[in-house]
Amino acid sequence: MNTFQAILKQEYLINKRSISNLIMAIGMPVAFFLLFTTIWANDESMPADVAKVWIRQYMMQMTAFSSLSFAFFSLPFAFQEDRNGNRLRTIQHSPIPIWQYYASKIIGILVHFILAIFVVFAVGHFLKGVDMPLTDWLTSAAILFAGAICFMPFGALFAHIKSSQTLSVVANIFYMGMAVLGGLWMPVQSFPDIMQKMAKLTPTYHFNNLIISYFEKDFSSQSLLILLAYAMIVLVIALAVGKKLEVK
Amino acid sequence: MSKVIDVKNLSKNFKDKKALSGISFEVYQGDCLALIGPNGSGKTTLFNCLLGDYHPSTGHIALLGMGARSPELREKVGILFQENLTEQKMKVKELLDFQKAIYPNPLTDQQIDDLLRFSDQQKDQFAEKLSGGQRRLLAFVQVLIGQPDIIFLDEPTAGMDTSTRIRFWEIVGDLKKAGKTIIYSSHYIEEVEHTADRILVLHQGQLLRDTTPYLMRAEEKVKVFTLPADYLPLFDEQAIEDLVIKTDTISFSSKNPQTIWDLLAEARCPIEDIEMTNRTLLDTIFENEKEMENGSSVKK
Repeated sequence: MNTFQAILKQEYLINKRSISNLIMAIGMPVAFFLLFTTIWANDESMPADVAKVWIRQYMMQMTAFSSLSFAFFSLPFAFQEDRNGNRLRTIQHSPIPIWQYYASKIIGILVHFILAIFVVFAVGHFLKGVDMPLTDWLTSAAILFAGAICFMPFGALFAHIKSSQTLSVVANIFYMGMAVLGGLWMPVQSFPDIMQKMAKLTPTYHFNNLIISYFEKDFSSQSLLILLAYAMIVLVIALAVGKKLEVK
Repeated sequence: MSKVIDVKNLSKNFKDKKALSGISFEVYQGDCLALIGPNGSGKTTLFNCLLGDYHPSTGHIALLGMGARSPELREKVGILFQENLTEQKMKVKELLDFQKAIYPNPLTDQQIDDLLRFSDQQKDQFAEKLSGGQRRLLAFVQVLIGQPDIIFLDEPTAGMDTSTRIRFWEIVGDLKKAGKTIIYSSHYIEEVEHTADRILVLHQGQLLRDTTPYLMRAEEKVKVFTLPADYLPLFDEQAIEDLVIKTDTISFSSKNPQTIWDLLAEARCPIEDIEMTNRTLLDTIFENEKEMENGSSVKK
């Protein structure tokens, strides 16, 4: 077994034993999905064909919401824990190249993204009758996956926070704030004008828009670019902060 | 004998503090070196510089002829950190397997078991559930699995119960016989005297002594006198140190106790008024530490 395999295995074991984290990260969006589609998209509130589209869209939004949890919470908390314990220092002084450590963490989160997409899609299909051609399933999964990756730089930035309480507060603010303001919980159209303008500034709005525009057969490359720009800028900030905080 | 560590004129400054100044020493293969000094003397800073975690402000460090940050050192240098923090959510045998997997020349399972002496049931446990001493021993064995040539131990026995501590020093003895180079820091004077071949004494960032246990014991013993304050004028022209003047007493140390004694006899100082104790350098250092720990130093 080489060093990369060894550290991936360790990452796998640690994550396997942290299943409780998944329950919140995936369970809450699933619960919201079932709850709000039942409340808002039922036979009495809207015609059946509108409800179908609404439920499908809400499924996508809740998948996006769950991936935010991994980017904003799981990733930075994992880095923080390793840094506050001896694990990071031990690895820095071991034969494991440090890129493998970072890669193992990133791969762990990517697996979580895939798991979230899988679970929410399954709940949507089997419990709420969401139905699409296979290409639509795969393409929307790919868009959700790619979009989720764009939020990882935020996690990388938050990972520099020293105290777990501060991190918890910051992560929660971004998590809830971006999700709600970006229109993942309630449609942006239902917001007052000024909030609609604010919504368009959030990366979550554009993340959501990728899916919406895909299904409208007019994929928004503008939203894609904005989302990528956010990811790049935050990544640069995260790396710069990391450099600055390095004690010499 | 080859030189494994070469430190020349090392200084390390932080924004407001000189943590280390002008430290120079050499370590040869197979040396067992103890680093002692009170809290705040710079032991951990020195370790961090030797490990490459800190850049020297001035001076030069070489390990095995390479810079402290060289990647090739990572398989040759082992470190036991001061804090006894165990990886969470990992079983003992998984941690051991991990160490075996990442080093090119690890110990065999049999050798690991000889060191650790855990039962199969213990090895199947989550490491964080072990007792403090067992976790420390596990951490130590984890370091040894990679068979590093240079081993740094930062306060290795802190938190160990007596039997684990005895086992630990047994293992260190075996490592010494195998020619490993060991550098450890300690607060316990006994651990230093019975295992170290060399002692480096750090105080306020400076290297006070680079010596051996034997030489330290042979060093001039200093005597500390405590007398009624009235006698102070007697010592105006004497070379005394650490003079402390209180309302009714004075105390000081002297390398020439015989002279002091004679002066006191001449002045017909009654023997009941004289307090006199021995003090070696190690005593001084460790006593200061205890005083600082206890928060006050009044002994009446």
